[in-house]
Amino acid sequence: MTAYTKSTNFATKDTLTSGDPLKIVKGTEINTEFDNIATAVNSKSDTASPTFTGTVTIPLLSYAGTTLSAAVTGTGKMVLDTSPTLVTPALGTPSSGVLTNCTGVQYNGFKNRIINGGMALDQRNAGASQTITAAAALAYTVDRWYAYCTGANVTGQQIAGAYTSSQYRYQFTGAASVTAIGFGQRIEQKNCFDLANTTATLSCYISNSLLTTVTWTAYYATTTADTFGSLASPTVTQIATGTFTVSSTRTQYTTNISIPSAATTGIQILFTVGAQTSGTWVIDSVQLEKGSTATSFDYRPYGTEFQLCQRYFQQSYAVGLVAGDTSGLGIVGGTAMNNGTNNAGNNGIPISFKVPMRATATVTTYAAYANSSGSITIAKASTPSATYAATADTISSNGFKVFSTATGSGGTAGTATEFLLQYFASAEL
Amino acid sequence: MFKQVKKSDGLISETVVLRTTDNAFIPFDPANTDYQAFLRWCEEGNTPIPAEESK
Repeated sequence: MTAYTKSTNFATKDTLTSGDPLKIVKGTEINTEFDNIATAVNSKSDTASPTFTGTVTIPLLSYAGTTLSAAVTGTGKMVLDTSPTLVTPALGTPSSGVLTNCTGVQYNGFKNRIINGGMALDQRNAGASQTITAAAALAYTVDRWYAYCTGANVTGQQIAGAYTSSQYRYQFTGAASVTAIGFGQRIEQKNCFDLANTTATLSCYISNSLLTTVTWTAYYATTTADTFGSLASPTVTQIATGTFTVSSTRTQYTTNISIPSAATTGIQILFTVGAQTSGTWVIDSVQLEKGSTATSFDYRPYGTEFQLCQRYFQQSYAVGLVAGDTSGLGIVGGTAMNNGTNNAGNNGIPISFKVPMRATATVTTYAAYANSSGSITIAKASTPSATYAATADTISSNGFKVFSTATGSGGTAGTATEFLLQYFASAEL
Repeated sequence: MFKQVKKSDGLISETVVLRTTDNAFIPFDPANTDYQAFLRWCEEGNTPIPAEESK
């Protein structure tokens, strides 16, 4: 690149006297100047579509009125629009995108390891309030969630939320002399095994009209998978604990939890408060997810969430009805062959669970149209249906057999009788 | 409180026990928490009520 440099100072010639030979403008001088100009011009770029070679240094560049140097952020190489490689970019809120080939995407079907974190499923109580008995064993409340209290009984209940936040919440109502309330969920090993040796994030919404501290604690089953022990004799190891400073305003709280490599046996998340002697403690949208960022609550399809819950608790009663309902809605049953010789005894019928359960389930039968546990309704030829004591055995994770050997339960040997019943089954952790 | 259960053939069940407080049939599965509670109850020196004679 060459700049034009004048070789002859023509202006000084004007000051020379006439006859001075230097006053004459020679053709060679003019030629030299034009050669200099040509050399300089030919080494410059055109303003239209110039082509640069070598290193171009532009201290300030403006495009369409915008100073580009002021609009650039970050360090490193410029990014072009095709196949760029971005290193830890903060993308803000992309207006669109296709994540087909992305890996590590959280929202892939089971982001939230908590089941029923939205408190939407309440098979046991169908929205009715439940008394949590002080110093008693763990009481299961809304699906998958257990509660306990000390000092005095409290009531717990699924309550309605709002479309602007969550559809359901779970609420404890305090009472005089209450010294503590616990509300927790035990996560099956198969659903949290991969969290070991990672950072997980716990998030939830909480409000409390009386207390300002809610303690959270994470545990893992100490030795045996999915075995957390009882409230009185826990078999768990604490992972971490902390507190949320809460108020009467529903607010989201989050915390990171470093899950140890030993935590491959199932995880328990527990929320506790102290002396809730009055007022209410409300919690909803509980989520435990992989990673160090609390993302939006994972709304799974209701039917999917329902079946996830049924792996741990299910019942024959129609949705919205609870154990002891006498409407007969949801009854199951079949026909059994009498084998009794004295009008007692029969072979029983098999009952299949709606969803395979986590383990061999605890089964409670009810008569079809009576609030009578441990019973079954039997109809025999020419005999009105009646309630008889029943036995459930041959129980598995897939179903059970029910029969009755009570007096009068059988009929003439070789004839058929109809069995009708309701049941609920539990394989909670 | 727990009680033994008779099978349909009249023999004592070796796979199920009855919890009398709620008439729940509890299977002998170590993964079942109710069975774990039953085992703890037995370790405390308790024994289930014998099954009744068939009527």
